[in-house]
Amino acid sequence: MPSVRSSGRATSLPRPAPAGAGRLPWPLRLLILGAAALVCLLSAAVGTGQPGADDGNGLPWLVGHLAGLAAAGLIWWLAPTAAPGWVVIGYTLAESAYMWSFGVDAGWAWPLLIWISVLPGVALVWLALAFPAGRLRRGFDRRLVIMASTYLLCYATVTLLLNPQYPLDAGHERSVYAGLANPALGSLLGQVHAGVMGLFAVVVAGVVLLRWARSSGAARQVAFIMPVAFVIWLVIGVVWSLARLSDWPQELRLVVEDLNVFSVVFVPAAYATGLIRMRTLRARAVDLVQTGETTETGHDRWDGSVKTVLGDRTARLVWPGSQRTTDRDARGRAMSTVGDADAPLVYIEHDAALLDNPQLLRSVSASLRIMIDNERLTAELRQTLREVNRSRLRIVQAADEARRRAERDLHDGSQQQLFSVALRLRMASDEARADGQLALAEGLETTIDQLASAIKELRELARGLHPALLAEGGLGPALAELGRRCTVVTRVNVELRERPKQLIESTVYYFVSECLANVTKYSLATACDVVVSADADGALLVMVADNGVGGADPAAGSGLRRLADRVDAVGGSMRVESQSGQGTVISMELPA
Amino acid sequence: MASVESRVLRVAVADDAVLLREGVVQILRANGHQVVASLGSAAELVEQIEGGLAVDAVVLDIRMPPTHTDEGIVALEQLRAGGFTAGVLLLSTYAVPAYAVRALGSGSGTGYLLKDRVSDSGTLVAAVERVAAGESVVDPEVVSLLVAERTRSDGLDHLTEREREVLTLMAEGRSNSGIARALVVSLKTVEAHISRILAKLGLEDSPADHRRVLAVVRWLEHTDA
Repeated sequence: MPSVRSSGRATSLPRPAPAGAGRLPWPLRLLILGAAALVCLLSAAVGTGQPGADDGNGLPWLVGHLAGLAAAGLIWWLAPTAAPGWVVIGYTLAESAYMWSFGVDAGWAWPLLIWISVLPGVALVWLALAFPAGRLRRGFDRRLVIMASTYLLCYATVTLLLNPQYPLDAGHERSVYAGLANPALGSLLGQVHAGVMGLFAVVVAGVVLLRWARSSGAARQVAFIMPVAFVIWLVIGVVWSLARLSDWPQELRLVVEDLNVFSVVFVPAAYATGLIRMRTLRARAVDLVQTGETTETGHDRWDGSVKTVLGDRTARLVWPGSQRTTDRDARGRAMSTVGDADAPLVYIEHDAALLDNPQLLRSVSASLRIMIDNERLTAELRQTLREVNRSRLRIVQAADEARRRAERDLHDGSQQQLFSVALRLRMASDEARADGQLALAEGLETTIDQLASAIKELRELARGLHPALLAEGGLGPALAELGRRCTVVTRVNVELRERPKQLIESTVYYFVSECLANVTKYSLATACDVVVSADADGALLVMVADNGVGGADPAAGSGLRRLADRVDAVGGSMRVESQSGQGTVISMELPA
Repeated sequence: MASVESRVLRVAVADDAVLLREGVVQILRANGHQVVASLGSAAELVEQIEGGLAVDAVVLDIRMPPTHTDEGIVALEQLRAGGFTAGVLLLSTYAVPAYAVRALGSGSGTGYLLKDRVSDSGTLVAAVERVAAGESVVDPEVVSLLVAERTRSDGLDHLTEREREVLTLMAEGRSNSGIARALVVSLKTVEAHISRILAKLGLEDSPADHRRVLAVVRWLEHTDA
């Protein structure tokens, strides 16, 4: 797993929590969500038809709550930490608890629900500020959440003490906790509370909007969802409050009530949607690898791809050892390291907002690492291939040289000695014959005949090793000689202005020699053509064509295979066309 | 085999293979000829002859230092260009028709023989004597190679069996009388065969034996065009 580490101002990216620790196993998650859904269902059933519940219909609430639970499930599935999922579930249950207060007359118990009913406010503030990282990274955010929690608990407690009835319009019996019962003060407190809550909501919306406005494109791509959802929720809340407090027409009030019911789910749904969006961004990290495959060393194009995939026009790659200055200490910038910290492959300089999406950074980092590794491996492979090709060429050259030397040694050594031995034997036999030693003379002559056939065999062997004519006369005479010795009538046409390099000459010679040997052995041909020509660039084209039975299979015989290897070694290519019954054309192309 | 000339020849031998060279020297001397130079390279031979060494014939190995390719033929062409008219017998390890054509092309009194022949009784000496007399000599193996190939490609069907025999002997550089002796026919018969063969092959008859041999060998080697 490639690691992404940030340096400079940015703190290191959180690792994904290992399964089982921060993340719940999915059956347990389903169980928890199912239980929460059951609670919502019960609360809707209990609240429905009770006075105070809007029109006595709990169904819109139930739909909103179940949607909230679905969002919680999505968030659990997508978020790196379990916290936001729990918060959304808590939020939904707390919302649904409000319904209980209409349906359950539990005497001493129901007023306590007021504490639960203030929790959704805290949850919303937390969700809006913690998105998308799933935790409060700034001290300001933490203080804001603590302030909201403290205020709401205080408000709930004071309300409990002041209001003899809670909720005011639920029509329950007097609250046993209203020790300081003062309806007038309670009513005033209610109005102040609405104002304070409105202020809180405006502050949070302001903070979220401001951050979004100041962030780079990277953050905006993801973070716009939350401010939008939060502001819509806020507006609906304000409108709803106004509608409750003033004498709006009944129809309008009902519309606002319904909107308010559904606005419950806005923020959790926005949270889940944002996570889905981040996931699709991560999927685009694959684009990086595709870009990498189409370029060889186009690091600039990688740069462009990283910008696109991160959605951050300011992002760029900084290569280790490069002279490019970095803005790592600039406000809002961050550096992430691809590769190990002690052996970095490349740094990504990017908007600090992207630290909220560590999985995206990790995906991009992993892709970059693959691309860099791939580039390095490709380069190594090319280098190895070059070396292998060079060494293969050297082997062919060495083999050629060895054959040349062996032929030279045979020619200058053994062959000449055998000639002179034969000559001496002849002189001896002539002498013996002159002396009348006919038996000895005949014996010597038999030996001379045996020696003569040995000399012939040795000559054929030496010729096969390396034709003397090739070295002296080049391909024209040497191939003509090959054609002359072929038992099939062979026309040889060598159209070369100048002699190719020795290695190329010998390759052409062995190619034609092997092909003609095959023509003799297998083709049953009556005619054969050998053509050697050069194109304008000096590349050699060699073709051996016969009118025989065809059906030559390069895979079957070792001869053609060996030939292909040798042609390959000098950088040429070979083709065999041999349809059964249509003769055989073996051609070869050698580079200039 | 009857020797063409019975006079004592002054012969120079050039071959880098010492043992073989000494053998050739011995066999020439044993046949009554005088070896005036026994040399290890073609360059030394050219130097000696251009320096005024008088010879009737030269026995010259083709493949010698420094390049080990065609030094002998190069030396031959160099000598002929300098007006050298004595006989030159080239010795070759391999039967290479192209070499034979090249050698014959340098002028009359030239021969091309495989080294195998040095152990044939009298062949080498006879060849030296023939080139010294201005005749041409082509090794029978080279000729049979050429005739076999020509037979495969052109068929040579328009020649009779006897004509083909005569053609072969012509290509080996035999004179009319030599052919007559070899085939045990009359000189007139041989001359009739030869004129028919040359007509069939589209070759002009030449009063000089050497030119006729060259034409025939070139035709066989496909270099007549």
